[in-house]
Amino acid sequence: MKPLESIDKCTTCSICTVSCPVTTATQKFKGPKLIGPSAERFRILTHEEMESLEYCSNCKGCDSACPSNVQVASLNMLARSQYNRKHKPPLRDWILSHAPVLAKIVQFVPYQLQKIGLNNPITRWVLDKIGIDARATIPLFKPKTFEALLTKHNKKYKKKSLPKKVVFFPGCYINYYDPQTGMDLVFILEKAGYEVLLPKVGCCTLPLISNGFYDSANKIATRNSKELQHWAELQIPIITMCPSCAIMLKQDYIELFPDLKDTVQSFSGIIEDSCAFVTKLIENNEISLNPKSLSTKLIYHTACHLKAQGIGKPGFDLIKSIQGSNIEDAQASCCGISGSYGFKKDKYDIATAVGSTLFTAINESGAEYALSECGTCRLQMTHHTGITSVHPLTWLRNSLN
Amino acid sequence: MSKHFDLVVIGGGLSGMLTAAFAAKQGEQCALITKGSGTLTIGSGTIDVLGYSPEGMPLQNPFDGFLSLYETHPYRLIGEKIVRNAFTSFCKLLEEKIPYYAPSENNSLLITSAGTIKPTWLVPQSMDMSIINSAQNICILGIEGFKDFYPELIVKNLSTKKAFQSKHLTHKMLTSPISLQHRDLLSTDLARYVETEEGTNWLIQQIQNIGPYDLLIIPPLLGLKNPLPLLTKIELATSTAIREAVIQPPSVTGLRLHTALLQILKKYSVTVINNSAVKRTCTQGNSCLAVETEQDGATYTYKGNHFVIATGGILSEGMQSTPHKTWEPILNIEDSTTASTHGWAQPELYPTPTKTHAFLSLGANVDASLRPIDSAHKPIYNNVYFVGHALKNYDPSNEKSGNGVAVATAYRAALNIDVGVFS
Repeated sequence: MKPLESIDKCTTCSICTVSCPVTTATQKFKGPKLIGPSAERFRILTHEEMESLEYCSNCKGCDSACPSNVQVASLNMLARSQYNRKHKPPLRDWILSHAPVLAKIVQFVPYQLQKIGLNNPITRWVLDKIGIDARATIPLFKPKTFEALLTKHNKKYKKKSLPKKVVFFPGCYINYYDPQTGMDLVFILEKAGYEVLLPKVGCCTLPLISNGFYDSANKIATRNSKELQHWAELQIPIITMCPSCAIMLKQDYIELFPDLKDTVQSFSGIIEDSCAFVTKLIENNEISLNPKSLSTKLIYHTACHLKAQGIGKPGFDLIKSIQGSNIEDAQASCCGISGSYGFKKDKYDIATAVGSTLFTAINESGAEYALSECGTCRLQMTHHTGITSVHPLTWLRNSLN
Repeated sequence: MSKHFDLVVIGGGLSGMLTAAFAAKQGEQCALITKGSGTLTIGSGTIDVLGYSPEGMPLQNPFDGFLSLYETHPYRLIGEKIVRNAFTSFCKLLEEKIPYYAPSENNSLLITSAGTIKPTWLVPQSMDMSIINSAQNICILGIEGFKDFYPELIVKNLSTKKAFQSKHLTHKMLTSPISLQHRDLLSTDLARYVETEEGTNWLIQQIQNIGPYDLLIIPPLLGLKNPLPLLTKIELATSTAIREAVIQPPSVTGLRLHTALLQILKKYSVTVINNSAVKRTCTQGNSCLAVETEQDGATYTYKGNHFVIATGGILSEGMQSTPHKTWEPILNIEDSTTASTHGWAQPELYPTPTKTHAFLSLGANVDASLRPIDSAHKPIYNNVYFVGHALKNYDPSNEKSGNGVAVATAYRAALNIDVGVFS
């Protein structure tokens, strides 16, 4: 069912309004029911946009809460794209949604210089002026991308001799900002006898869609889909670490780009979360892990885009299943960042308010580490609580002998 | 990937969450799979047991009405003793989060934002209206910008009721403490504000300003958690009795119960799978071995010893229908007594209680242990139980029994899973 067709399933029960973290945090947002299915009827008639659409963070809390399968978040994103066709989006939104392009420019700047360059008050003042909040922690482009690290690693250790293969979709966060987390996955998978293959893919396009760059997103999504279809035909498992990439590839491509439906359906069923995949390896005795320092108190946060996938909490279950582990489920709504949302000057305070329940839960838990599958959730948790936040597999890898 | 649980509950509304909570409290490993987040946040959050007899007569004592119900009504199947135990267990389960109680053996009458009276049985103190008998001077308090709560309308409608004719009813409107931006105020906005120190002081100040009343009826503003501490604080500071009315969705009073139940599920380590719909079962003979969900082309299997279906009625898609067939989609059990949709609905939105909307009573036929039965009254599966609105033979809207049946059947289903501990 297309998002537009789903609006007639809305009974205006307002359960989504109660679940929406942004509506909870601010009066500026009309709420998912009004901006999604209700406003859509007016859009069809007048093609004019209602105020406050820009406040939807695309967290999909509404989709998870809806008892009637209304595709509220995708309705909002399509409306935003439509709006941007007539109103040029600000430079700030372009910057926040084009990591691969920026990475190409930044690669000529030495890492230390980038560190100084990005964090100095003058740069932050300029960024603040164009709408990137001076208080936000901006992730740095690492000197080597995950792609570069893995290519070098595979050459060095000639891992091509490993019998089993797996395709890993790293996503921009791992590839540019957090490649070591990707390498932690590689370490565990190689231990189980898997060679990690990199598909020729770009950004999953979720940041582009969230910022209303539909046409660019469509082009990249089409390329990605064809590439993933190729690997699916070879029956090689495709895994993701980032829940937002996963939901985009499996679900949103079909909702947003109806022409891709058949292609996406050829691979969506074999996309698997990395923690779920590792759990399966343990269950099938393909790998045996003997982690140490288990009693460390951990707190786990479920990313909204993981929750919306309807597959539970693989990272939490994995760590919890290890004997002696001490992990608490924060169970505290959204962290607020929603990819690029929380960096925006007009959204920073809203994002902080959205995440406040989670930050309190983390602070009160007494945990040493916060775990979450989502990269920007980890960034936000560390930014607001000071706690070190890692992917569940990073924690697992670090506690191995 | 497959996981094994003692109990797998399908459905995240009141009946589903409670079954999981009752069982998990006894140490059972439970999973709860839910498509949406249930309908608690559009209801009052109070536990109605039985407000009206099948003939549409208001019941003073809900339990007096049990004998007039069909023999297949969930209350009759379970029996009054277990139903009463269920309510006691419910109050005990919620004790630490939101204390619920029955103000008397009789139904308690709530005031709604339409100025109507709603019978219910278990309430939190902020909604206990028994105080109304001794109150003479009553004020209904509204807030500008908070729509669907018009004190003038409430007073007008209440004045026509016998119980209020000797009372002095007035109404007042407060200026909104929150500046209005792109939308009207929601009850959740106000409750969240009153939860802050600034908000609490604002409300105290406002109540002090409007003068003395025996009773002040307000929209549910007393925070998003247990309202009792705020109620006590504000009543003490203003020397005024305050009670919260029942409002239209989104409902703060329902949200409080929803939040409390989620915390209880966390406390007893229930695995919650959100945004996921169970498509089918894997069975062997008359045992269910597992249920399966389908997400974006992949299948996920949840194995268990027991299964509870708490997917709601036809409005929640717990039942499905075509013009000539009605069925429960997970077990694929047909509801053969309602073969045709013709005559399902009455022309009036709120028909007189004797001519009810038949679609509200669709569901599964069950035995006394809540196992689904075939036309020969034999259980179809020995380890699957139906609870809440997924059950047939009762009409929650007309009887005002929705949450009561949910609580009673959830408790009964949990008894099947661990018989010893409850006795």
